Amino acid sequence: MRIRAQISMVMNLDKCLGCHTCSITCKNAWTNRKGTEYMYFNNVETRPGVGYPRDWENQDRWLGGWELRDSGKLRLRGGNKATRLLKLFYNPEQPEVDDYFEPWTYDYETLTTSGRTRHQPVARPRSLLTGDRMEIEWGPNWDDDLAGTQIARQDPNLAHATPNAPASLEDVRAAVDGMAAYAHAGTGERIRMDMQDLFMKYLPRTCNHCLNPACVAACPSGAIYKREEDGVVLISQDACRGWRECVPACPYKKVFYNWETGKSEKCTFCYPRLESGQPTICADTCVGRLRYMGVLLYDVDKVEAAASTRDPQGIWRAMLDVIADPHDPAVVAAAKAGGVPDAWVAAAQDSPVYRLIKEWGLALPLHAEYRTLPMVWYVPPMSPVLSRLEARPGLADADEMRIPVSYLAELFSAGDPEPIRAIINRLVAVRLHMRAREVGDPEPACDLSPETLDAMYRLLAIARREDRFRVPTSPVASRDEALDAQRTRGFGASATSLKGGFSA
Amino acid sequence: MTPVDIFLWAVCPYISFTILIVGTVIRRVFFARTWTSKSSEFLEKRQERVATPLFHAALLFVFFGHLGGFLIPKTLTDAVGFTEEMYHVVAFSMGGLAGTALVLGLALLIRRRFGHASPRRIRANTSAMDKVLYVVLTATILSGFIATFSNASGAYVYREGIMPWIRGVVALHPDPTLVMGAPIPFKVHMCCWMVFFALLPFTRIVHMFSGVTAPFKYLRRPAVVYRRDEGVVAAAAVPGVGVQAGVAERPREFPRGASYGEHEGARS
Repeated sequence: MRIRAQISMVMNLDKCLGCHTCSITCKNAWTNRKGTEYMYFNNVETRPGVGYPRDWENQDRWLGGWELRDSGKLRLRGGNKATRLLKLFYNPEQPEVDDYFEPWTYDYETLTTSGRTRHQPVARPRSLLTGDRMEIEWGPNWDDDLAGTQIARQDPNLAHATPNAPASLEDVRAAVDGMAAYAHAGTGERIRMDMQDLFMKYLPRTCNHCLNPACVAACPSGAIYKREEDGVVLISQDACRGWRECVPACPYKKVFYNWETGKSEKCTFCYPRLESGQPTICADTCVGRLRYMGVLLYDVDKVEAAASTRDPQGIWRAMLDVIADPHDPAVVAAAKAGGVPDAWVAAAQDSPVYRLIKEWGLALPLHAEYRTLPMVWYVPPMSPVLSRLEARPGLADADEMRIPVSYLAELFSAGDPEPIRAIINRLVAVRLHMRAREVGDPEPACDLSPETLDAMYRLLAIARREDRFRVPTSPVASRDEALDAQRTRGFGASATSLKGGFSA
Repeated sequence: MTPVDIFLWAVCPYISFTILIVGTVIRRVFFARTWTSKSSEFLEKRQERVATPLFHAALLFVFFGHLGGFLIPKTLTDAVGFTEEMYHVVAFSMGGLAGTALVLGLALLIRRRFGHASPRRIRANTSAMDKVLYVVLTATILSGFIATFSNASGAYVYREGIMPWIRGVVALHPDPTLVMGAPIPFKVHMCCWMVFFALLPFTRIVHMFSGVTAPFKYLRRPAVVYRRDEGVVAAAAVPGVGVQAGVAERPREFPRGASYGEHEGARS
């Protein structure tokens, strides 16, 4: 047993209102330089939708993540080392800027410098790649709020998802006269995205700072590394040689190629903030207060086995086993022996993230079937009850909600609906419990104690800042040293400081 | 032997190699952050699909052809009974083929970057150094190509002139008389590559060196790279070990329960 610490995040999708504040604060902090305009280390996608970059989940196209060989060995989906090195001069899986979007700005000056004209002056868009005028045809969030349902239909997760099958079809028939067609629900029928069945939710995404990161494994230069002390995955801008292997290898498409500096950049988990005990800027500024950050202890020796779990639906369960119990004396002893500071062990024992993931079993990783063991987990969202079922009194269970359980299962549990059902029904139980407390209804039948339901309510609904974030401090260098080290820890050069050296 | 001959064939190679080696080392050590191929596949992919692999594959072939010529002296092939005629047929046919592919690949690259069909994104992101580089690279490749085909008959035996000369240069015994009689295309080619080598450390061509070292390290290393960042800082911050100037003095252990909202004030 070798125990290391990992800073982890959980997002409670129930509360995401799709305001994009996280994306904006992240962009202003990290990617407002030339060459990074198209990058969103943090983005919020509307689901169903194609995401950013378009179609990123289609691993038949990008060959991202890992695959399990018949021998039981893990291999990057993009092929063995030699195969991938041979793709150096032309890599078919390499995305293009148009897969993200062509970044632009507006001619704001015309608004103030325009002479007297008959019509109001207009700030027209201008490409940040060429400086030319351009027509905007796609953006980082073009299908926000289901803009254009034709786009939402292209969501690859819809291919296997089916509409919700309510608990009792008789109830449905009683509730909705003349809609016998719905009896087909749950029998392999595809989600049609018809108006009356339309559903929508938001999916905020950052780098997952995986335990088995494909980008790290793909880098021929060894420039990408996982920090032992907090698990943050960083790209040294000094060591990166611009091979770009990491870009297709990351199944989440969260490593970006800076076309100006010729190097890759990615989410740093705001490591300077973490080191001073603060959460990432995206989590800190989240308006819905839905992001939780804290320490997980994990057993390095179990990582490979968990990523090699034969059944893709079993991977997230194997991850629960990789995440060690911070109250277990043997784990604490191993952590201290491995150099995890006392404050970090204490933080792990009081970690909101651990509570949500393991104690309460409320969170799941995004697309664990990519086998990278992501360390950003999600509480799947509840949603309004299907309108045709509203005749039924009380709160519905998971299968009566507007967002099909099988769709959520495609995202969070490799297609297995059971964990999604269990989590949503637990979230429903919290509400029923609070309702019982307020209006005197009977307590819900639930495997959780009233005390646990109270604690869940406090963390999920009240979500006080000091409860959401439990980030211990790290040794920090002086300001000068930190500035000097920033390039080896992933902060790309500004275009001007690069030009000061060599421009070619 | 005129002063010009001495300058061109006994001084210039050393200027060129010195700038190549010193420049590359300086760039590697002090400007590692700028070390990249600056791939433009991200901006344009369709035309790159044929041009880049063709160019690079042909270039590797040509490079190893030159290396073979440099390493295998005529005395060796003579000793094993491999005649000059046989050598020329092999070298000319294979070198001619690779050279043709190289010129074709270069033409496609030039078309992509400067030609009529060149996308605006590529042209807008071509630096001044890129333009200089393309001129020198084109001159080097074309002069070599012309030299090869102008000597199709094998009338000029470069294995008795240029190759001994470059071996002499490397052995620090340059003998300009060996190449003074070479045909003009060969001389132009030699001048071009000397300019190219001197230019190399200042251009994106440095990426070829990563191609030489990285794959071997990569093939041997474990999949996931772990690294401690705190290393130097933590060691310097241990009380009594001699705190470096400018490093905040900070105990290795942190107060129990330190977290956001509780940790001690602003960091110095």
